[in-house]
Amino acid sequence: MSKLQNVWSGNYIREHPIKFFGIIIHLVLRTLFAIFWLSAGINKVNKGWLNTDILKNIFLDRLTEMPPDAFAVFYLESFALPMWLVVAWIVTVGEIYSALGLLFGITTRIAAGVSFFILINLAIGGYYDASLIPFFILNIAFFMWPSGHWLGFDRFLHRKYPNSIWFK
Amino acid sequence: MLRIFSKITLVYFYISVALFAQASAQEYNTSSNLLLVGQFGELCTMCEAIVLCDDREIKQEYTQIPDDGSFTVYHFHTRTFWSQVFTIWDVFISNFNTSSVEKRGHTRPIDRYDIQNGEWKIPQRIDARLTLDPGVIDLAQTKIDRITREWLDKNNQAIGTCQRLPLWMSLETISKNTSGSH
Repeated sequence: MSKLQNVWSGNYIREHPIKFFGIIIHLVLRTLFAIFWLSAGINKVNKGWLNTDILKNIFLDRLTEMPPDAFAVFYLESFALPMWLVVAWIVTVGEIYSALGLLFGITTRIAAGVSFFILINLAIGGYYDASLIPFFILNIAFFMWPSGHWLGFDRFLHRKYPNSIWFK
Repeated sequence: MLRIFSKITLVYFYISVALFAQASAQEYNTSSNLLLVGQFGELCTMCEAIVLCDDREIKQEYTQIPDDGSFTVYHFHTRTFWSQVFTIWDVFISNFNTSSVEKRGHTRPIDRYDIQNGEWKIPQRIDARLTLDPGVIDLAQTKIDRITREWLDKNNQAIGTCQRLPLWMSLETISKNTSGSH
C-alpha cells in the first residue's frame, strides 16, 4: 500500500497537517464538481438529449450568435452538427460517467480525463467562457493526484489490480 | 485503519447522495417568452444582443435599425470575466433554489445609442441588470418589462416599446454610424 493511501491515519495527519488539509480541500472540490456534473448529465437526459433533436437546435441557435468567421462556426458546421446525435450521447454519457467516477472515486483519473475532454469540446464548440477556467484547473488537479486512493473504490481496486491504469 | 477508512467512505457517500438528491430536486426554469430569453434560457454569458426602443404606441416590428427617426438602441455586451466565473455559483445554487438566482439576475455592460431624427449621439456605457423574477431589464435611467416589452421610465410609466433586432446586421449599422466615437 502506498503512503498516499494512509491519509486517514492519525500519524499521517499529525506528520502532514498541511498535506492533509490539501487532501480535504481536493476531496471537497471533487465532490462538488461531481455533483455539479452529475446534475448536468441528468438534466440532459431529462431534457431529451438522447432521444430528441434538442442538441441540434442548440447548435443551430448558437450558430446565429457567433461571428460567421469564428473557428467555432467551422467546428459546429463541419463536425458537431452532422454528428449531433453522437455528440449528444458522448457528452451526456461522458458527463454522467465522469461524475460518478469522481463522486465514488472509481477510475477517478480517467473520469477526470473524460471530463476534461468534454470541456475542451465545449470550449472549441463556441460555448467557452471564463467559468470553464476553474473547471479546467479542477480537472487537471483531479487527473494529477490519485484522489481515488484517498477516498473511493480505486483504493481497493488498485490493490487488487496494481498494474491496471484504470485505478492508478 | 480499514475500519476508519470504511466509516469515512460511508459517511462521504451518504453526504454525496444526499447533496445530489437535493440538487436533482429542482430544475432551473426560465420562460422563453421573456425578452432576450431564448428557448434554452437567459441570454448566455458570451452572447451579445441588440434591443431597439422607441416611443411608438403601436408596436412596429423592425427587421433592422432604421435609417431615420428617433429611437434608442441598446447593445448588450458579453458578461464581464468575473461575472462569467460566478455563473458556476449561480448554476450550482439554482439546483437547490431557483428563485434566488432568478431574483438576483445578473449585470452586464451595455452601450446606449440615442438617435435623434437619424442623427447618432455619442454612446454611453452603462451596466444593465437582467432579472427573470420580475422579468425586468434595469437600464439605470429606464427599464424594460421583459414580458410586455414596454419601455418604462423611473416611475414605471410606459414611454414606448422595445424589441430585439438581428445581431450581426445591427452591429454593422452601429459600426457604420459610430466609427471613431469609442
